[in-house]
Amino acid sequence: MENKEKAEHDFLDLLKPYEDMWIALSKDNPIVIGSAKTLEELFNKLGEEDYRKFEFMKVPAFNVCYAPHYL
Amino acid sequence: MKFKFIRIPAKPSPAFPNKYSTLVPIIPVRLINKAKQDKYIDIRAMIDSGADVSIFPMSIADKIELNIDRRKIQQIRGIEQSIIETYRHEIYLEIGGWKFDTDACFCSKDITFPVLGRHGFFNLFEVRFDYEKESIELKPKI
Repeated sequence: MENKEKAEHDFLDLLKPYEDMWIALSKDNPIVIGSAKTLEELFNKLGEEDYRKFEFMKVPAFNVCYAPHYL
Repeated sequence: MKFKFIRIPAKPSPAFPNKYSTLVPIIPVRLINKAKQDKYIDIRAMIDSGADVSIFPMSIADKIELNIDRRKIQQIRGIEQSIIETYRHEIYLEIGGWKFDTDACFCSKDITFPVLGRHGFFNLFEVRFDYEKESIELKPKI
């Protein structure tokens, strides 16, 4: 498998358990450090950890398509 | 600056029975408090040319200690017609190591996705999508 395809495949697998959730990703490796239904909950879960060490992402719902949206 | 679309899982539907993944234009950005530049957050946001403005959750504003002025309100209507209230605030937006003086709207409700819209993002870049090559190219206008 090409590296690019492998990275994509890994990211797909990485996101699967986190549908419609906020996740904190490690900046060094594609590892999910924490997850929660809302970003505020995720910040609370991370507690005293320096949030600047992580990258945050909202994982979209997998069963819907997206159009310009806000809610 | 070049980025790749992100491939995310998808669930097949009667309309798209063979769709198990989809490509979305999500890129890494850094939002920086202009007054306290050690207060920043790295987040992945969706490029959305259908959005008038860039929108992020209020919890980000709180985290990076933005002093949100509640008088700078902007109502926003989504595709499903509901209206949400957001508050505009100036920020630095850093993308690919380039830092831009811009602004964004922060929303108290839990939004579906952080978006980079026409004002605050598209006014800063020439944006080129190549869906087949799965590439996104941003050329700064300044």
